[in-house]
Amino acid sequence: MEQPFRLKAGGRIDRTRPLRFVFDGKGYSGYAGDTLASALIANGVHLVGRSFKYHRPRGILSAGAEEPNALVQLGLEPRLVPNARATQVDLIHGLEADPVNCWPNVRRDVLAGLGLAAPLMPAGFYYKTFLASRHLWRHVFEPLIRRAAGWGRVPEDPDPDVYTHRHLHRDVVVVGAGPAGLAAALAAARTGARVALIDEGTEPGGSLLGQTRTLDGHPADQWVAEGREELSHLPEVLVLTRTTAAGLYDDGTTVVAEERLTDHLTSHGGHGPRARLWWLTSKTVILATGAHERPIVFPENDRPGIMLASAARTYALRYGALPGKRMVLFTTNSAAYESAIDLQSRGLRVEAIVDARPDPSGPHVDMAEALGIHIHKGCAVTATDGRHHLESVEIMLLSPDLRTVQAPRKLIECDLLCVSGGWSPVAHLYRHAGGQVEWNAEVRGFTPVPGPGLPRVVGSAAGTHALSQALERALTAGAEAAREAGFGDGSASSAPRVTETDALDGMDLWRVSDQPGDGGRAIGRPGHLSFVDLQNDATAADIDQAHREGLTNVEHMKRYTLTGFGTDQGKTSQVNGAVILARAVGEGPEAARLTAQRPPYTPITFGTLAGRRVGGLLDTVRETALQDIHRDLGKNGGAVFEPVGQWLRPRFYPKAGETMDRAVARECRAARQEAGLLDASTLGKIDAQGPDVVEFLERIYATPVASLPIGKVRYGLVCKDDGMLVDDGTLARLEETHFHLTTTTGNAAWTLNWMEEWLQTEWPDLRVRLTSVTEQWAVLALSGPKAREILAPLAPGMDLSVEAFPFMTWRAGAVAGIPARVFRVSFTGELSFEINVPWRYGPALWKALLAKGAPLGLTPHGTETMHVLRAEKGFILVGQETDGSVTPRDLGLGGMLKTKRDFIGKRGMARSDLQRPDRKVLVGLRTDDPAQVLPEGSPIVEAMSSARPLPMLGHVTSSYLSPMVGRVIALALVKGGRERLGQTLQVPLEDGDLAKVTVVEPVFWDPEGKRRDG
Amino acid sequence: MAKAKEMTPEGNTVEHGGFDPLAADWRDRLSQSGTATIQVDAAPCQAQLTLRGDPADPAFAKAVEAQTGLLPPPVANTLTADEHCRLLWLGPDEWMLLAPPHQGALLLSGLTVAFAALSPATNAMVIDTSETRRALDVWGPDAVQLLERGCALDLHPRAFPIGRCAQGLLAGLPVLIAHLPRRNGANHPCLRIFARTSMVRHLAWWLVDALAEFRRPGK
Amino acid sequence: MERIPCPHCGPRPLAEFSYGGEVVPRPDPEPADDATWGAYLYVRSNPKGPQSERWVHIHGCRRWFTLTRDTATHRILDTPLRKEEA
Ligand SMILES: [Zn+2]
Repeated sequence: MEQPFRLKAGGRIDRTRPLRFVFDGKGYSGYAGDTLASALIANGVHLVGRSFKYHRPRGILSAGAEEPNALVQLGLEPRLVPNARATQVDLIHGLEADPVNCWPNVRRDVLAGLGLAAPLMPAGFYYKTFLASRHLWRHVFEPLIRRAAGWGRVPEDPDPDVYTHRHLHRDVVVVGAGPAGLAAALAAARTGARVALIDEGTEPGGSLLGQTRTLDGHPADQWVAEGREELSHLPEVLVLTRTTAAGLYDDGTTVVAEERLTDHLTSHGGHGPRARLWWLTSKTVILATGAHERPIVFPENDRPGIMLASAARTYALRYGALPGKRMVLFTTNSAAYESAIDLQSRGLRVEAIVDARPDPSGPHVDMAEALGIHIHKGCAVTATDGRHHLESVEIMLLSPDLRTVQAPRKLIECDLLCVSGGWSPVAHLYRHAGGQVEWNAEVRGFTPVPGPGLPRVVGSAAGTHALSQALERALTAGAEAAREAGFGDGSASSAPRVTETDALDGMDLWRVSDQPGDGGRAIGRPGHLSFVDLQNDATAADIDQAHREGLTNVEHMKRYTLTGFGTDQGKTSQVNGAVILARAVGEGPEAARLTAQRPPYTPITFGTLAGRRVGGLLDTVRETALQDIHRDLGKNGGAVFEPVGQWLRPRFYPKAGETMDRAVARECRAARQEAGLLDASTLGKIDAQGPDVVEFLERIYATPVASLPIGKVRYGLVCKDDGMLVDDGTLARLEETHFHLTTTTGNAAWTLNWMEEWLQTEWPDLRVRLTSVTEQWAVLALSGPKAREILAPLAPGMDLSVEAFPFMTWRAGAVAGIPARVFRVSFTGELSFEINVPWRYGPALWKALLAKGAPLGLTPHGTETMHVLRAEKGFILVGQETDGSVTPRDLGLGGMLKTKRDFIGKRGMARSDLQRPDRKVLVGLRTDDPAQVLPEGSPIVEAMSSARPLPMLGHVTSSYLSPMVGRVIALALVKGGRERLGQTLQVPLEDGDLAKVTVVEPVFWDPEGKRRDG
Repeated sequence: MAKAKEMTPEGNTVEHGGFDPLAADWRDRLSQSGTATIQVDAAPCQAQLTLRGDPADPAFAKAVEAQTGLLPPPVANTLTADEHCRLLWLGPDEWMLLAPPHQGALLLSGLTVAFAALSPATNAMVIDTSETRRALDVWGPDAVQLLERGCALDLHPRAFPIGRCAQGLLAGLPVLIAHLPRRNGANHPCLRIFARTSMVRHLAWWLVDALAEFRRPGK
Repeated sequence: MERIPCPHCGPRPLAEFSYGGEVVPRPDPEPADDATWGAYLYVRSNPKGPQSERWVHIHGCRRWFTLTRDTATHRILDTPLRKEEA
């Protein structure tokens, strides 16, 4: 029999489009418009999972986002989706779903059968076990629990789907497209404001969908359809469905929402992005997020077949699926009677209404009695029975103080128990924005406390449960929000006339006691449990225990009992748990505090958060003008790139079959013996000019500036106010008040911004203009004994002789016909020209230099060779020899510092601690083993001993195999290093070996500096 | 020693063709990625001069106008334009002058001379930054939607009409976006996106990737 | 995503900005003793509540400015006036 619980007619499903699906290995059918949950209910399937801790059978509790039980595993690798809420999974043809937390299947769960789980894990189990024995925890309990707990499987393979983002600015964003949200959006949109209306459901309408009541004399569905129609004609209105507002940020003005684009179409991909993350920035936000019906805490309240009253009604009215045949309603309020009346009208037999109120009255009570439904007044459900599905409930009389129950005991057979303990406004987003909620005795729920700068809340989210009132207030809120954004005059049309239901004339029943008040025997079976949090199997007794152990703060109780954790974040348990704790302390609900609520409202897949920032689009890749050339060189021999900041720089250019070591050795030799060519375009470059530029640079640089003549270049050091070196580079004086500065590749942006900070905040009187010209100039560093010979024919107008173009000067002129600035600076110790040409001519210059130079041995080299060459000379690399705690003096650069004039860092360096003789200073290391490269960062010790911690003298900062020196060289920072020259120290290596090293001067090549002029 | 002389790309005859990160293959990829409602192409290369000065000094504005025909835009994040040049707001004392490539050198020298005559308090300056940015054009009815995929600026025509410009982040990298009334003489408005020259290919790649979404049914 | 009010460009996403920390007056270096200089370098008031702090619109107009932010709520209390509005 197909879909035995499906009604012949009614509901918003398409009976002409049947869909096949598989649940727990068994085939079923449903219809387009179903959720997985409604299709399962139509097939009479209620047992959909096992609970987390006790592996108890669990059924579908709700019809929405609050679902704690019906978590399913969807799809196949690599499109596995763990922990999807069956209540929000759109049914598609071929859907494959499995329950979670059970093995081998949901009916025969091994762990439940063994009865293993329950006694193992009382409240606070994790903490107590962990504290008792770390060893036991790590090796016994944790692996056991992890295997048993499950909660779905995540895919092992990379996510094959595409996810996208979109930022949008709106005047008004309305979250929730139920009656209140729709009304607010209409009122705002009619003013011409830019409006977005978003809803997690498949269509707008919310609680009105499939409703029996009328608006302005028409069925509710018609009012919804007309509203949708009107919005669709307004050009500045965006209506998003299947879109869940995950969080509200930035003082409540940015809604971040996930739109599910294809999960309702396919489980195989291929339909474009699977989901879109929306960043909706709005002048005003209106929250119409509705309310969740609250379960009642009573013994054995967790069996399949126990369902929220409104959910049962939704399944019958919206989906045409009956959640049972014979039902009992357990309620604390009259509103839930509507569910019983509607369900009875759809053919379900209402065996009884168990109303906790001693004297319920009102139109719905009268109507129920007129229908012949028996109402047990002042009663409560005290136990339930049924192995895999509810078979009967037991009811007893509540004592007047509600603390105990008393005989007579009555058993009612039924397969559906609808419960309603009142309504909890959904204020998650309001609380994300910093809003508070407080107990509202009239509404019997925690409602938002209005405050300045907080979003507007309308409808049942604000505790306004009467439909007419909700519509009226929502229309006003929409119009006012638009007016605040500059649209309309704030007036709204009048609300439609509504057939009104009973007000929320309920009572509070927080917990049905499991203690009989008449001294009789205990109710139910021994060990029966009253669940507060169904997903985490947290019971009222667990909260009692938490209280007994002194955990009276709700956040502590949450962590101790797990109430409110999990994928549902306690949507159905938070209020009950908080009030039960408050009552344990002896207070009422008004004293209860809710735990903090944080985004996301429902789980979001990581793919959505990442969007397209995956793979090569993860981060910006910066390229010099020569990138294509480097890649082409790669084709000839395999250029290997390395990331330097966001830049991708050639590390070395191996010829076919060459290892990195051999390629670097070849490049090093060429640069020392003939000539090397490096793309140094990534160097940071700053143009500094203005009447006060000399004064400014004198304050910024630790090295002298004013004495630098036009046409000359100087090495410069930049320190922070603490005296530590942060950057180095060169200053070239172009004109009297015009300088060209260079920074390290990695610090370019930081250094410019740091200079701007001083200029703009501390010295706004200085007339200086700073401009980044990093990408204005491509830089090729031509270095080596043959550099002059190679350059000369390309720069006929430039006298390259030592006399005319000495070291640390710069000249302007044409190189290869390209206007150029040539700097005679050297980072290798060899004769070197850094040729700057407009960025676009970088490739042309490169080709011209190689055309002339290749026959003379000119060899392109990458960053690795650059590092070796500079280390051979003992030139420091900021970020390698420095780490923010190293001064210029520590690096042996003290002689370059200005002695008289003040500069940033001068006072910092003068601090007593920085004068200590035993500071770590730069030295060279000579390894005993000439081939032993020391890992950078390796500690240096005097000798190994048993002392712990081992006294450390310093660390290795750089170490390379130097082909020219013929052995490994290293630089290091060593305590009192200058006094240790000649000493033998030890470097512990990862494999337990010790490397013996001798402290030497940190210059390994051409210590006299004879080579720099060629 | 002779005073170092500033030279510009336009100042000398250069025989080599200049490198363009958005040369042939990238322009092809961009144009082939276009959809019925969104077109993308490299913008024409133009001279880009950075101007600094005190907007409160009328002599400064006058000098700018005399040399360029344009007044610095008085409102933040807007631009002024005539048929030759555009002047875009970059900061309260900073603008970018866009000019046809062959006029760059002339404008640079003209402005340099004119600014030298101003009071030092104005601290006026002009510098050639033609190489530092490369621009892309995006146009068509869904152009804004494409950029909204990776840009948090409000680019809706109500907030970002023709004549507006703004600096911000697009695809995670810093950009300057200008809403221009027409593109290369073609009579449709476009969004011109300036990115740092070293980053513009990454941006082009991102745009090509983003456009794929708009070619699929249901976008 | 917080929005920071740039005095020149108006409210913009946090990602366009760089944080400069609490505004700490820089003592005159010469007479300052080690304790004074150390306090300037390292000691911050770290209030729970309003704090005067520096920001720069690093990916926008590159201007530094000062604003007052409540560190407990992240609410910006005292925004520098925009030129257009001033
Ligand atoms: Zn700004």
